Amino acid sequence: MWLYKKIWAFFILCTLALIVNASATDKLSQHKSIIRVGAYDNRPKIYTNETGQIEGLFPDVLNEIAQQESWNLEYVHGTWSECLLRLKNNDIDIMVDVAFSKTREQLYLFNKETFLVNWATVYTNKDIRINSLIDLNNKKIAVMKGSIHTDGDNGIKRLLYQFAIDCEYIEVDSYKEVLTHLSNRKADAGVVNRIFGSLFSRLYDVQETSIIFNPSHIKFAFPKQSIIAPKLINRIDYHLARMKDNPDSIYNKAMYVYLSGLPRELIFSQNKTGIQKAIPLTHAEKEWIRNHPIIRFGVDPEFAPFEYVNQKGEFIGMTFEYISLINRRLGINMQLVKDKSWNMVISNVKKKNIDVLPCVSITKNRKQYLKFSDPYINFYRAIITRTDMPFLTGINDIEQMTVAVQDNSSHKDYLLNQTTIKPIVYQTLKDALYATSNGEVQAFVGNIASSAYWIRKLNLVNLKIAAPTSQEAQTLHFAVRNDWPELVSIINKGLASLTQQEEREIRKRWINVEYKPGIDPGVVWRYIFQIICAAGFVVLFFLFWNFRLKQEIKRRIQTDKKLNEANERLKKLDQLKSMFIASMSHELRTPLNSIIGFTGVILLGMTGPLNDKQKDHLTRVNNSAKHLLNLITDVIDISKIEAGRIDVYPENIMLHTVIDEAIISIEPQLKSKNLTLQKNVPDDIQLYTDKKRLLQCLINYLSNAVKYTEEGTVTISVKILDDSIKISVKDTGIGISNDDLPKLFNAFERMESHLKIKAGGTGLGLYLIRKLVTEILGGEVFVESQIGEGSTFGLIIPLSISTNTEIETQ
Amino acid sequence: MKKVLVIEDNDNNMELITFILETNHYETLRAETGREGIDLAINNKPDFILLDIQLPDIMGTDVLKVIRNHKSCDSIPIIAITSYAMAGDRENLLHAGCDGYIEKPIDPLIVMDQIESVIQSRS
Repeated sequence: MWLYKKIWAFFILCTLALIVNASATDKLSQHKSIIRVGAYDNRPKIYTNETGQIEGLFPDVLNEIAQQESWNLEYVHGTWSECLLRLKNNDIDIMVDVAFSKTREQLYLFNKETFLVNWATVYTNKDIRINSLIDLNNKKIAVMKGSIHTDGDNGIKRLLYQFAIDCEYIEVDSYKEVLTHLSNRKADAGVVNRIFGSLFSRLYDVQETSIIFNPSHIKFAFPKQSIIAPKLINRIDYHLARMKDNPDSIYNKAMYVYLSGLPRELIFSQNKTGIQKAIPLTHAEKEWIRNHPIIRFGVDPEFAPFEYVNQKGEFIGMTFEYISLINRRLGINMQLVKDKSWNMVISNVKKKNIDVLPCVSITKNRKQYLKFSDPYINFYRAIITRTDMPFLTGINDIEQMTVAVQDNSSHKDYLLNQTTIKPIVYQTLKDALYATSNGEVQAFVGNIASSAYWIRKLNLVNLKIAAPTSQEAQTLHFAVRNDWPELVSIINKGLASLTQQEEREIRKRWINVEYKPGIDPGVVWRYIFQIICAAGFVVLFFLFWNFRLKQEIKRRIQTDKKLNEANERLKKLDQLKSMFIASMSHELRTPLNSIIGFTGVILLGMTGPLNDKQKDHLTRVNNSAKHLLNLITDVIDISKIEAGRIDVYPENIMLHTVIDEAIISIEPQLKSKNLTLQKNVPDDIQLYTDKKRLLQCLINYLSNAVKYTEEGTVTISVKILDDSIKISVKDTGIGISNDDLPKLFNAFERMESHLKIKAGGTGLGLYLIRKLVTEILGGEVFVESQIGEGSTFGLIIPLSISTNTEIETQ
Repeated sequence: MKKVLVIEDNDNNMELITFILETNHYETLRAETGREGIDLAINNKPDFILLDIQLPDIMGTDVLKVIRNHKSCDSIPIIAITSYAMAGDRENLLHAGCDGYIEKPIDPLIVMDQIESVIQSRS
């Protein structure tokens, strides 16, 4: 009893679990029943066509995904800002074409896979010339309201604000209006995305500037509170990734078609893969198939490799593969009627004892009693002669000859109707070839593939394929008795459903087939045939490859151009940055000067006596302010050099006076540390250089030497080289390890040591020296040092600056 | 008591300089613009002039030229107050006829020495 209860309870639990589970799934699928997608107008990404349908890059791809997932999409149209509001309020499930940003990530969910990368381009009306961001100052700029290029983290507003560029924004609802504003001269400049710009700017009276900014990843966005979003994201990412990999996918076709401005229909044309699964037969067609359970077809027993009888008496060939595929796909039943000869087949067709010929070309004669499907195999018509016949170039060369042809073949009709040749007709292809080989006739005209097959098979080694009749390929079709037009359209649908892959497979099997060598090989013929095929493939391959390369080169040239433009812009921005720092730093100095001055006055006791504590603290204030001032001064110098804005004032100077001046300015520190200074400087060296900058470098070196030396000597010495001088400052300080030496002259590199804090300094000193020496004085810096044994810093500069430095005056 | 004309637009700098001068027993005349400075120079004949070269209305160098070209003022020593960032202007200043310059930040410990050495070298 107890056990029974337990089992019962378990059963109830299971059922409950199932019900709960089922209702949860139910909920999802209910939600899934209609998925609302935000739509607005932004050609070609998404737009409403003339009939009110939503189409474009995003909808076309999304529809494809929806079809595969059996989602039911409903597009909700609005302006961009309306769409974003709906997305925020969970009034739509998916919003297309949303550029990803950190700010937006706070508001919405995004899928992972980027749909495409976009950026903004600035356009102007034709009256205005704008070369850089700075030219936008005081201009009227049309922008799309709420766009990431307008209000985003890297949008135009933020960008111009950062450069203190002042302008008036005209906010409109679409990119179209942005360009309209430009051509109506209501705005001076306008911002649109690159895709819209490149496709539509020529429709308006506007010009493109080289200003581009804000590259962004465009994705699908979903409401934060949406419960189906995770599932949607998962599926969209899955399909998007797969479609990107497949060059034939709707995604890749749509990208190509839309971004090249081609008609949309191209996306869906020749799209055999799409309808592969279910062939859309009409009701009448299905009815017809039910009423014709058996369809009889006949083949040419010698038309290898298309259709023929092998040594075992089996009917085989490419045709049979096509028939079995189409039978399966259409649910029809085409059955072979095994007639012994082609002539018998033809006479049975005429009597309507056979309904279909699966592999024939169209002739005037046949049109009287047959209807033809779309072509599905190509072949070339060739002239076959004996090997001892002279060289032929084409059909005109055999007009005076006796020519054999197979009865009831398209070749016969061709010779009769399109040439002056009066052919000698043979019942079978074999007979015709024998006649050519024996010399009964001088040439034979027939299908190149089947002729080559029989020449080899019959070992007719004295025959050759002499020339093609024309460059054009002949086509092979299904032919259907003319009172069954329904079957033609049914077969056409079946043929259309074959994928390129399937057709390739069939061709591969039959064209490269190793023919059974019942008779000793006519190897030559096989090679000729294969070489023709191979050459054809190679030529095609090269043509295709060439085309691809051309496309690629074009693409790269464009990318290269864009990169160059971007690079130019970056350089300008960098200069702008340095200019900004230079002028900003100047403003910073003014209040600092006041702080230093007034604390100095108080420290001197000019305003009354101070107690020791006050004096100590005020000294700290004064020193800190001086330190800050030095830092700013260094920054100014560096940014001026980097902005190419520093002036050079070369003059004739005596080196020893400059050195003396430098020594005077570090004398107080020298004395307070009780260090001695040694000077090995000749008195008579004259230089033509920028005195102020040289002095700045020397003071910097000397004060470093004093800072990092606790006891001993600082030595400054000068040595004359050919046309330059070497000035070195040697100390007996703590020294520098080999590892640190290379980094020494970089910005903000200060070596770890117990003196670091005590010594103070900005970390910019040596970097500035290097900049000054190399970029202003036209020389170079050097350092030699060993831990514990002191260091020698120095510079080598030319005796005369004028010859090798001109850049600074720019 | 010697009279000094200080032409300086920044209130803080003005206070600092005049305070130091007055502590050292000079009488100070204050001008906040170049135009005002020129008027005061011509009307009051100060013993020397301290001139900030960045002024709101007229460039310091132009003030210098105007005062120099005025008959009654051509012998008054003029000392420019420069900012390091304006280094390029200094040679122009000497060319334009000023007798010396003091670099900001003003160091109260040595500024009087700097001023007096310029005036002495002039006389």
